[in-house]
Amino acid sequence: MSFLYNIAPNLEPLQGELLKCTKQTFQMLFISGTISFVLGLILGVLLIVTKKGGLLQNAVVYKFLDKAIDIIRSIPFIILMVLLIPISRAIVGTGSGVTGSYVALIGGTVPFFARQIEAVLADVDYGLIEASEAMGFGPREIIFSVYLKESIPGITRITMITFVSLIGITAIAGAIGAGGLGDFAIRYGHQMGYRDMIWVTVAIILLIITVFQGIGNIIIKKTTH
Amino acid sequence: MIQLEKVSKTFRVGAEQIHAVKEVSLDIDAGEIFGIIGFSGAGKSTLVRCINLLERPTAGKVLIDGVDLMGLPESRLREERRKIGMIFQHFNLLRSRTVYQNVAFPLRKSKLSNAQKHEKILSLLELVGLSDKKDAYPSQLSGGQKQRVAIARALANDPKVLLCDEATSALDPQTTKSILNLLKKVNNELGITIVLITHEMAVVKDICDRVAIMELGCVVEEGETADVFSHPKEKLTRDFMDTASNIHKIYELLEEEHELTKIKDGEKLVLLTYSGGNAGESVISHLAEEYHVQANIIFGNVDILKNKPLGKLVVVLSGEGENMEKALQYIRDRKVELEVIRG
Repeated sequence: MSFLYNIAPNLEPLQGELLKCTKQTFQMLFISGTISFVLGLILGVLLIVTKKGGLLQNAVVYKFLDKAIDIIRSIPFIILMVLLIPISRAIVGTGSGVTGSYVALIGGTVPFFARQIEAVLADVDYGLIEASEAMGFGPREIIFSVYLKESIPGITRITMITFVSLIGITAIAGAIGAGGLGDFAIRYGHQMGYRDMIWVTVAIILLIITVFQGIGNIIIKKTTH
Repeated sequence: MIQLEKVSKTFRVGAEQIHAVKEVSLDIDAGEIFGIIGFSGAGKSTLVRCINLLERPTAGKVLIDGVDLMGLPESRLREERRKIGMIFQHFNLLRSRTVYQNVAFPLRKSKLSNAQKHEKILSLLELVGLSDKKDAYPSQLSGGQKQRVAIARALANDPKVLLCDEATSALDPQTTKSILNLLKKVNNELGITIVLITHEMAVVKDICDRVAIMELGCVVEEGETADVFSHPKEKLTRDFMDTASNIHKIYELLEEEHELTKIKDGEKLVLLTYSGGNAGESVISHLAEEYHVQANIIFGNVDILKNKPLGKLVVVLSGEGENMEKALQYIRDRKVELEVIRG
């Protein structure tokens, strides 16, 4: 530890705060990440199956989702965050703090992720879908056993990309009092001028991303044949 | 086994209507290998998809083993589909699954116990000759091996019918042969009715008991393979015959004014077509002995259509005027088709 205190002298008095902020970041990443993953996956699948020529072709559902995703995606996150405050209050009871950030983070992640999922699933050869239909499988089995199973490497890849962008917006969420590493870096690194604290935050974030991508790469390697 | 009654399929592309299949009626018997041949865009792929309703016909009836597929609700249709295996030009194997898992895939809905399924998969892999590849992934297999896996997979649910959509079109001639032999074996040993779509004459010639020729969504000719191709009624049928023999080359040579096609006065350039028992060669030797008409064979071709020979010879005949007439009459009497190309 003393080595760290030497290169980052402000760490000693601030380590409690840093730990708390790191925890908040993890909390935001884990909760909004998990929910976004599931929601994005569902929406991506819905897009691909309701599309023209899809398994459950439905123009109304497709057009609605397609437009909604485009609209939400085009709103800059910081504005989207403020826009979603009333919705956050309605759902989780608050529009600020870590809890108040979830809705905004999910809103900022899901449309992007769903779009990417759609692209990945579109890469699944239509011949496979046709062959599965010929074998007597219904839409549910085809979605899980063909679309999703065959796309694990692609889904993992875009999950990694989306995770990095999610870390980016958790830092912005500090602006509505969600705390986290971004907030820590602004408060201490920028406003109080502790440059070393910026470097420490950067190092922690890099570490998180590296670990996550390492896991992702292992999954991709194991599932690509 | 399979009855198609006035099946039509129309696609709407924008304001335009495309009639991919027009009022096709076919009656395919149990245990036969039925070929549907046509050039690209003839509607044969759409037609074969109408058999298991991957494409729902816009009109007509599809009966499999007496069951009217179009009248079934979705869940019953899925059950019926399990009795109809299908293989494709591009194999359509699941890349993320091994050979074993690919064959196991259609068995998910089967009522067999796990041990029975295991047994079944191993015996199917044995049948297609891939027992040693069971843990390989599709990307590690050659085209022919992939198609073998696809065949094993298509047979997993003990289907009564196997639909083959251009199953050999992506394979080289050697591999095509081995896959066709495997299909014959499947047909013989398991008694499965096979419907085969192709644009390759060689495929039809090799294994089809009966054949239908398709053009622009319609079946233009249909019958026993040997009959259809030895006495083609439609131009399209002849075109297909030509793709499998070198006889049509004579017309190119004629156009080029090739040395071989030049004939002297009193000579005739003729095309002889004989099938079944009429051996063309014996006719030719007889011409020389009896009528003193010399026959010079420029080239020839003998096809074996489902075990019946079909021969074509391009011959230059030379002889005296009267003898020549008699010789020609003799040829016709021997039920050898004669076409005078020149002279």
